[in-house]
Amino acid sequence: MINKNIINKVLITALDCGASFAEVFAENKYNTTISISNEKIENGIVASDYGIGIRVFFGNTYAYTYTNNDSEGNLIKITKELCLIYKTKNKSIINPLNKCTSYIKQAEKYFSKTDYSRKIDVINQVIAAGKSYSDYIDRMSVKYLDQEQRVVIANTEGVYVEDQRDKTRLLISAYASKNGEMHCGYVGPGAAMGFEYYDNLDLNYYGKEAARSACAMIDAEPCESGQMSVVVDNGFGGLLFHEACGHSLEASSVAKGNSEFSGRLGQKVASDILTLIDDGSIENSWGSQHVDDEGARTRKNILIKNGVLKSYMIDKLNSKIMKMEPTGSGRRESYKFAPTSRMSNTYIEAGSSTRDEIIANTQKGLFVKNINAGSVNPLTGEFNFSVSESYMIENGKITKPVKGATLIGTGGNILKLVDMVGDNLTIGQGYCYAASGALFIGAGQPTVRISNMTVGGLK
Amino acid sequence: MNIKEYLYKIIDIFSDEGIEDVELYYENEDKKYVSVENSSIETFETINAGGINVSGNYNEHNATTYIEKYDEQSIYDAAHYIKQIAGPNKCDKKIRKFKTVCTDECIETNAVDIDINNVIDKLIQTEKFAKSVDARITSITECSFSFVNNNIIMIDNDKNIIEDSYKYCVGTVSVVAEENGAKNNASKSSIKNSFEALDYNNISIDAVKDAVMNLNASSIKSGSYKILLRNNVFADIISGFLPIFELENVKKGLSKVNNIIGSIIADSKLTIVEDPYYENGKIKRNFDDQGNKIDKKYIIKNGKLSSLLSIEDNNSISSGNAFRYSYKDKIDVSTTNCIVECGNTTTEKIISNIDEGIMICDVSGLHAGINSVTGDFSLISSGFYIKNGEIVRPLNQITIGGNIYDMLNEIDILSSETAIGNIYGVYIEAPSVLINKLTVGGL
Repeated sequence: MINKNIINKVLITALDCGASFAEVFAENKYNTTISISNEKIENGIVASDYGIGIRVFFGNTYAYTYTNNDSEGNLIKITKELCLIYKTKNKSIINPLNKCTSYIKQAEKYFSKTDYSRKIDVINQVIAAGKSYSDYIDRMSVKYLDQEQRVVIANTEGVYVEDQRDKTRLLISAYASKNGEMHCGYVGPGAAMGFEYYDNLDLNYYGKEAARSACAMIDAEPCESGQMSVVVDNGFGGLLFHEACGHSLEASSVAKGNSEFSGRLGQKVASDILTLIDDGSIENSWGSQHVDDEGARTRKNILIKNGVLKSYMIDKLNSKIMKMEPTGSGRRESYKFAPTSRMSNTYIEAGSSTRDEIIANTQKGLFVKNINAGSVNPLTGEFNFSVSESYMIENGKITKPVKGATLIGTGGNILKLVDMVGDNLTIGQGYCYAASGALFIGAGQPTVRISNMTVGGLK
Repeated sequence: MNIKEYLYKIIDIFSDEGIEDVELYYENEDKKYVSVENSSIETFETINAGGINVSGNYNEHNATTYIEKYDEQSIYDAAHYIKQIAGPNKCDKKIRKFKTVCTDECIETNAVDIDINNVIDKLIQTEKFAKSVDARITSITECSFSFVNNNIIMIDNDKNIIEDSYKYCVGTVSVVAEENGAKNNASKSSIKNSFEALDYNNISIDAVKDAVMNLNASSIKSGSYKILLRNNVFADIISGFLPIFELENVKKGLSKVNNIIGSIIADSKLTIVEDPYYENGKIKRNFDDQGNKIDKKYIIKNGKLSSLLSIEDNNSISSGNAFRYSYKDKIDVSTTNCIVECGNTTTEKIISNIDEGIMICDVSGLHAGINSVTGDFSLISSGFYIKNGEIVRPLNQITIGGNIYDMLNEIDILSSETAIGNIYGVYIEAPSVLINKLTVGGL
């Protein structure tokens, strides 16, 4: 990709221009995207992304540039241009780059060596399964993604690593229509694996599950608005906590006091029965990487333990501002972005109640089976997310489906109102969009009850 | 080798590889971003990079890929990908011949003439000014300038060239206000066609007003209320529902808009114009990305459907709305600059005539809370409670919910002042709009 000598020259150039730190991120990514709707291929593309990002620190601030031109002359030129506007000059010494540490693990089945037609077959199998579920299903749309992303990361502190991230996912949407009403059900299984992922993935189950979700809501009444208990089912329901507090625990918000959790390490911020973890090292999990995008090993970070705030997710730049160690949480979408602290696989640890116990214990509330997406304001903690499949709970039983629900609240408040945690942890797959681009994330939880939340509805 | 030479090299190598009718789309972004904090540079980004979307016909089928590294090996790799996927994709052969071509140089010089030091000085002044507007402002979390200049070159099957470009500047100020332990933040941005046109003082004042006015906000009883959607909010909601005007969605039953031009879809007070030459717009183009000359047009005129948005393919002719999000992406329907025509009444006057209602000043969660298929929406919001023509108290932790098709027919009044919505999406400028009723979720 880019040889060590050129990297060295770029890093030395940055220091000579007065930077206190410099980093090179080189990326070469093979990727496939195929979208099929009812057996018609709407889009199918295979391509290679290639580029180099250069980041420099001047004190606690940073500058960033990227290019597709990897010639030595161009990289040195753009590094100098990057540093030109800074008036304060440092004198820093480079730690020499030694041997490159490789974290590349051989995949069993490389995407780049897998026949394109086999990928189409995977999609078509899902579509067939979904359409067979019910006559109400009039359309199945499936998007297949894969990537083999090879990166080289080096910096003036002597970090010099290479990694390969093989990932794949299916985004499955089923559209059910009845009497002029339409509803969409969605599932999105994925993993940090090669094409062997599909050897054991139950494609029929996922096609039918998307269809089931669409059909379940086709007769749904509008959800009523108001305050009620909310039971969020296991799996991607963990997005609730991703939005409610995950972003507010990223150093990008915490470092400058722009989070409701700034300055609160060691304080009780959540219910006693809540433990929240971010772990970028879970084998094969969608949000995992061997090293983060600053070259540090990913790891399990316990953010909240039994309700007490234990840690933040911290990247290199914010570690300087906060005077705390980085946590292997520096992430970026690609070479086009500077990294910052971001989540990887974030989940609530399993508790001791069963799902059935939680529902039976709920007099009146909303059961959230599937979540759509959400957002948060880390400063105030205000979050929201929309629900794609939900039901009323009445007298301890799940009753009628309801549509159009939005859940809102503040992170600090919601964490304290969790009063039952299930024993059935699973982690779902998703995307997160923030300052350093769109990232693959895992969001998970067991079934969880929040004793009281504001539910926005359509009536 | 300059870029045009490289583009022609792609065509030549592809021809040798048996790939015909090559169509190329080159895009280069020249971008600068600078922000200040505590009177010095916080972040600086400078980018000059892009890529090439390449498509061609191989064995009677069309396929597409893109190139980021401009060397010969990348062209051979791209040819390999196209040959690999053309058959399985079964995409019909495509022929692209531009109807209008550029005979003159359509693009401006590539040189970007921004004096960054001048910008930094202005931002430092702005940071101090924003802090001085109100004593409750405790920090300025963003004070920034960005400049984007995109150059595009398209080449059709006859090797005709169209060159196009657009540029815009964005100024942003974000502030945090605190009072009695309560915190609130707000951000305001402005899009103009030059740095000099950005009024940072006004941006600062607007950000500060929004931050302080919502301090100590609380929720309200759930129910149906008369709702005044502030101009930025109405712009955001319209942007989320633009897909309902796409011809393909109408045909597939993914929109409830009738496929009948002239049909009534909104109150007669509503007119939405798309203008690719709008001076302060974000996307100012002469051609769309299929090489069609584009012009100003109505989407809705006096409540009636005037245009459905489409791209040129086997099933439809282009409305001049064929764009790529980037060189990596396929052609899809998008808009340049949309303007909702304003009314004659000031927002203040509208408020004075409301017996009881809510003014919504901010919404979030547009990516999740809008269903463009059904038209339903439910969005987290903040604003004010209005009683007897006066603003009584600030509100937060509420949702507004409804259906866009009903809402467009419940428009009572449009204000005389306009504002843009979210700067990251398509450009929409709108007035404030009074809606007879929407559902509010709260206590």
